[in-house]
Amino acid sequence: MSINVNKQIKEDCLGSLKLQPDLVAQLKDQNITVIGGTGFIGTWIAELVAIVNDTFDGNIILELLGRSTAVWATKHPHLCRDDIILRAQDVRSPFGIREETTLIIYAAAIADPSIHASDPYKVYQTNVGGIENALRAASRLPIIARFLNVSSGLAVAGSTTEAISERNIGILDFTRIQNMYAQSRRTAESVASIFGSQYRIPVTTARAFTFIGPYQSIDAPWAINNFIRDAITGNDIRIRGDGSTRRSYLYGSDAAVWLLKILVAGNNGDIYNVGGEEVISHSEVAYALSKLCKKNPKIVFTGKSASADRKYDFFPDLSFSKSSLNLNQAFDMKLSLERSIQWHSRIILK
Amino acid sequence: MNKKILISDPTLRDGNHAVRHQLRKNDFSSYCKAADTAGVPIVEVGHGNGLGASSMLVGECSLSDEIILSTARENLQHSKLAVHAIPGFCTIERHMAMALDLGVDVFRIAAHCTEADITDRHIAFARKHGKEVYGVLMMSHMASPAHLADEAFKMQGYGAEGVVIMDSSGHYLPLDVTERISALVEMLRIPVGFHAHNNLGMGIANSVAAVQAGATIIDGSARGFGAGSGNAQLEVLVAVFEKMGYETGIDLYKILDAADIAEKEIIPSLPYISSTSIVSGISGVFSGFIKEVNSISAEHGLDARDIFIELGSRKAVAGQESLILEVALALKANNIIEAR
Repeated sequence: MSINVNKQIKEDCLGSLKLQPDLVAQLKDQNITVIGGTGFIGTWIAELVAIVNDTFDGNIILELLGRSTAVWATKHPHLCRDDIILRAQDVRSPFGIREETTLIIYAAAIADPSIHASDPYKVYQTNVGGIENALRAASRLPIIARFLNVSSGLAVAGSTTEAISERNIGILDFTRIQNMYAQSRRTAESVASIFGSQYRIPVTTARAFTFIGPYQSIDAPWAINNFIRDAITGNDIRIRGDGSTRRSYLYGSDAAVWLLKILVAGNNGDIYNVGGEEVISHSEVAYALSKLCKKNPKIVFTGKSASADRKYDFFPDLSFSKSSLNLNQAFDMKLSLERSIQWHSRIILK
Repeated sequence: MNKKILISDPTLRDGNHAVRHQLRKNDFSSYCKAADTAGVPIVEVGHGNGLGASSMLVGECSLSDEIILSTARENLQHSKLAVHAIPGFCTIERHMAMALDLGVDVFRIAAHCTEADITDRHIAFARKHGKEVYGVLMMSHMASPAHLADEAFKMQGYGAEGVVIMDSSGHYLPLDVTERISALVEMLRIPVGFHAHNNLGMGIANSVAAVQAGATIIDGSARGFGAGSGNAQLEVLVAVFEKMGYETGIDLYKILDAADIAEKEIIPSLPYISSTSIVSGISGVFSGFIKEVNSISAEHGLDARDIFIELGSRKAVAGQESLILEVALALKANNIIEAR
């Protein structure tokens, strides 16, 4: 990774931290374990911890548990340091956590839709079996101050075409394989509630919506990332149907700061939505990207599917997250797109 | 109604089955020009079994993939150039990369209807390079509607921008099509398509049933030129959809002209529903087997229909052409035993 890329990430982290002036003090001297720590969320948290330690003398120890720690270490050599401990662990098997840890973030999940389709059992084992193993490990710790379950807004999607609030309970046909990912996140929330009630684990839930930015897989079949890739490479940006499907996006450094804030300041049993505020359609995103890219990609609307009348809008109601923890975005949609293009361009075109 | 149907034209791919993969360079250039003029959105070219399939097992093509693709590319200005690609025949590094270099716009990644898993990397490769990519489930009558929908869901997960089911043996009646297309439409967020074969004379009726059930991608060949008794006849489809109020973006007169050119210059004998085609359809055996079955049955003094029925009972699929001889020899041995 080039020095310029690291500089951008540092600027992003400092920009997001600036909106949470108390967070650095709240994180000082903490021992944090992120389970499923080598993905998008874990990597951004590692960047933040490194910056807090280096810039603000944070003295935080971060443990990252993940399946592919060796690959992660190769990709992020600047994060291989004494205050970041890497441990290879598949959450589907029982495991333990460093006994110094008092704060846990459970971020293990398989978000790749190709695996949802071809290996749903693995997804279920990771999402449900994984959190059960993590909660058991947490219950064996001498002190546990917080167990933050990073769930998904999809767990409660389907009940509204408007912003999804933490109070929504969603509608899912749990018998259908296409709902298995969302259903497994629902079940994982139930398991966390059981441990919260029966074993008094201080569980808090963060429901993640759509994220954007560096460290996302540009090749995974998600609309925004494919748009960014095609915009950078100069291919047509293809939009299915009329492009009216709406999302909102939260930039990586903002997402990491929000999750850390919920970790140290959230309430037991509460649920916080974590996502972007600005609601934007796929076609608006495509046109914005087209303007931002030098190659001026063409926007093509492809065939509408027969199911296009069904609504797939997905964005959060953030009123509770904002009012209770003052969670705000440092990077709006335009900035998020600019920063994402900047970062992915360097990776793709290098 | 004003609903759009995306037409994909496999005349120069499926039609290659009908001539043992011996279409000539001129055939590709003249029909591509005509289809392009008519406004056909997608023109599919290649060996009958797709990219990289030319082989002793399924038939050697008279032209290389490179010549076919570069010829088609030179003659398509507006229509998108598409290839059919079956992982196994088609490798990513050797064939798909070559096709990208030669300007292919659309990849149709195909697998037997219960084996969508094998399309993962090929679909991802095409998406990664910004190309339009569809999943294709062949011999779709061999899976239940629910199973077919699960396989299509995998392709959607891999990044396919639509899934087309093929009635490879012309086995379906309209209700069969309705059930399957409806199951896919219910399951998927992406467009669903249908590729007909005409063994039981249902090519057009089945395509109409598909559209009425929610399909928005339909395959059709000029004069129905395709494996066995051919595909749904493209120019008829265009006329029928126009009559039904659907938009295809294809100029009717010009596609009629293109079909005339195909008949005059490319198609040595027009597809028809032969007795063996009917048996192929009823027994659910891949239409592309017909030439080989006829040839082997004649060589061994057997009734081609018996071979088809036996192949059907063994659930033979495309790529298992070697089974034809095995079945023929087994039938011959039985006949000798019975005669004794």
